[in-house]
Amino acid sequence: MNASDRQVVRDVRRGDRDAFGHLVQTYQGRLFGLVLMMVREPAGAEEVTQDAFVRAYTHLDHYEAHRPFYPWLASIAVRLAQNWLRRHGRVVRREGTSLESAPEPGATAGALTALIVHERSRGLWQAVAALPSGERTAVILYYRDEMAVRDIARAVGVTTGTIKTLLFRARRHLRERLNSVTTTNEETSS
Amino acid sequence: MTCTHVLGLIDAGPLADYPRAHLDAAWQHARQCATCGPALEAATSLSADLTALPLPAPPPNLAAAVLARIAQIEPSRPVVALAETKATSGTRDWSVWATPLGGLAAALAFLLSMPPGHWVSIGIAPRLGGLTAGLVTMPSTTWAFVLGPALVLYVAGLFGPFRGGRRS
Repeated sequence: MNASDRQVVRDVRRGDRDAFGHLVQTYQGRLFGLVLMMVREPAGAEEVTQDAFVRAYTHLDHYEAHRPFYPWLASIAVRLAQNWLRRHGRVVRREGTSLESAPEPGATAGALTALIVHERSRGLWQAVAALPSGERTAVILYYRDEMAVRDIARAVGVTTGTIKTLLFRARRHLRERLNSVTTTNEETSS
Repeated sequence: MTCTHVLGLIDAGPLADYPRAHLDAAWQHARQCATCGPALEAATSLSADLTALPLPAPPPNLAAAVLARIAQIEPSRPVVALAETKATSGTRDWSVWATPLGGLAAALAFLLSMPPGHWVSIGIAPRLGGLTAGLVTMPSTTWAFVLGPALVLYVAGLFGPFRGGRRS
């Protein structure tokens, strides 16, 4: 946690509610991206992201100030996103107890691709969005949010070994998927 | 070393838990293998692309919506109350270091005020009244002038949290 975040958290704990706005501004992009990747529905992602910030505010006394702020915030968001998926009949299984690539009912990864501005990144984004829930979450937290495996395990509520397995499978799936896309494109162009 | 094993190491990426020499042999294999070579290149590129993966921008009103919800949960405190809270917390901060500092200074002043002989008498033969003797002889030293303010600081620190009518 940087000094600025520490100061903001101290101010919020002393009753300066407006200071929390600084944390929201700082982390809303990362958190929304993470949640969107998990629930794959913009409206749901916004709802969960809001809930996560509100939960973080009301439970700020549980936050240990010597730890970085974002992993704590992300752990709240991951739990809320898992609840959201459960409520909406999506992935019922707990991350790590089933690592199969079963298709998720109601997944709308294709519709989300339109939100990606960079044309070049759409293929990769689609490939990540098509991963099973646990792998998706692990990939975003590890690569995009640059969280340590230990912190990801704490956030998701599984062991570090499970996270390593999820990342291993995610990389394999992505490599295979992107390979097949490249092969298909080459065949189409020739 | 088989291609299956090397491909597994490639997929494990930075999390591959093998000795350095083993990994070097695997990468050596990959560089010379028509199957593993492209896989290694693709995996390296994949890691870089994932790190730079752009995510959609959050809705423009997200922060405002969060703050509005927080405002509903907890009605805004008056500015005066907030200032009072900050002032009280300032008092608490001051008292946190005043008590140990005052106590430490008082203890040091007390010990340094005594002649070396009394230290021995306190340690070896307390029954001889070394501590009492130290107290009696102390005013003759300059350290006694430190002891008074240090005790005041110590006591002030103890009662600091009670100023302002609340204790954290």
